[in-house]
Amino acid sequence: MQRQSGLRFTLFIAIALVWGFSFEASAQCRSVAKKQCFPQLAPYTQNGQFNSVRLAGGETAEVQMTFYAGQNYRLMVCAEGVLGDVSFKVSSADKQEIFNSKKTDAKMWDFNVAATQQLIVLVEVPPSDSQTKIIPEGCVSILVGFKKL
Amino acid sequence: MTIFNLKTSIFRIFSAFIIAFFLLSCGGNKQDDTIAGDEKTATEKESKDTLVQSIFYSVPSPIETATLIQKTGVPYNKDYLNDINNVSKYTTTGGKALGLGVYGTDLSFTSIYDQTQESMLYLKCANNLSSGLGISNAFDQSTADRIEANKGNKDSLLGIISESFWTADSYLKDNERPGTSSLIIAGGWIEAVYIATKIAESSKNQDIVLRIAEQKFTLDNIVKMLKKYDFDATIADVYKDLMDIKSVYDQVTLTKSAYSTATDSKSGITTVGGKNQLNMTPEQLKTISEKINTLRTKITK
Repeated sequence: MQRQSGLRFTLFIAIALVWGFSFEASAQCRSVAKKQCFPQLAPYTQNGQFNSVRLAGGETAEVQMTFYAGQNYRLMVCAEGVLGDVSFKVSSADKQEIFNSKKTDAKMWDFNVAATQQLIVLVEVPPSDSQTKIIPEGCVSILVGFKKL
Repeated sequence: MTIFNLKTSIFRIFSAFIIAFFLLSCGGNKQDDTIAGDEKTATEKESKDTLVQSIFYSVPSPIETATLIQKTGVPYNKDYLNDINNVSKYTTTGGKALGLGVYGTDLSFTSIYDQTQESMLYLKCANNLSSGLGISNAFDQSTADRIEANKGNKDSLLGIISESFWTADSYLKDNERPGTSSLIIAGGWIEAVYIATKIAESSKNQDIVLRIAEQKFTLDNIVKMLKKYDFDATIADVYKDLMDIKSVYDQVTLTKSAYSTATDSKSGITTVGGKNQLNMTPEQLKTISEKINTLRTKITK
């Protein structure tokens, strides 16, 4: 009987820890985006959407979005340092490459479009060179700001 | 507590840490912040097909749309906005989310047109609905104070409202409620297009008509976003109605031209060239206006 309640206690603590760590990881992305990335978007107004994900080495994320003619945009990828040099490329809806951050070593891209269109942003985390089995994982946020042309 | 009991407790807590460590490391290393429960299954399947771990669909904010409409020079008309007295009619979670999107767009319009007094009324509606959704700190009193303090400074006002949208969106996604977030976005879009169609009807302004045609792209992303969560009855219903509108937009033709890019050496801003031409007939505009009007009535009454 005492052993059973001890087991329950251990499992309860374990589940609470898992839940706590998961929630903390999620809330961390929000905090990183707000504190570290928002200031760099200025003087552009951020578009009000939170696109953030936890990625590990070698992983990718994609955002499909519409950009209007008549506005200037700042596109920014903000990642935790543990992930290394996270890069991004922007393609047209029919997959023609328009911008590649690897070519300019830029963390953000300021642009406008002559005609309203869909663009695809692909974010790539470099493969991890970690020798251990624990692969580093971190937050990646994709932010968009706009301002009048 | 005896030494034996103390040792046993330490052993149990240590064991809990070991179990937690294994659960965290074996449960897959992907903790997609925006995807919860059943929604994750759909994305995992999508990811396998495309080799991309996470796919998001993002749409321009209502503030952006309102800015572009104001830029055409059309005057402000409060008759196009949702009645603030409708706020009490939104009782379900889905209804509140759609209502928050609608009032959020109205708040954007009143702010863009410097209607501070009305902005405060719409902010109250947004606050009422966001509180009902369990979102705190988004459209609250401190937001009202900041709007009041920045009266006349449009850039600051837009920044404050955008931050409120971001707070709501990030809160919902952090709490594994991305479906609710997508309904707010859908509600905001429906209201913005409704206002644009009303302006087009009265002014015949061709810039506004072009902005309505351009919604072909945004609607495409919204339906993809909603499709991920259509196991929810409200989302499935809105999805169905939007697909009906999309069927008209699918007939709006797009003529593409080759891409080019040029970067201004002074500002560092790149212009993505290529004159994509959208061709929307008056009949298509009329049908879109009617369908949007019906859907907007459905979600606001």
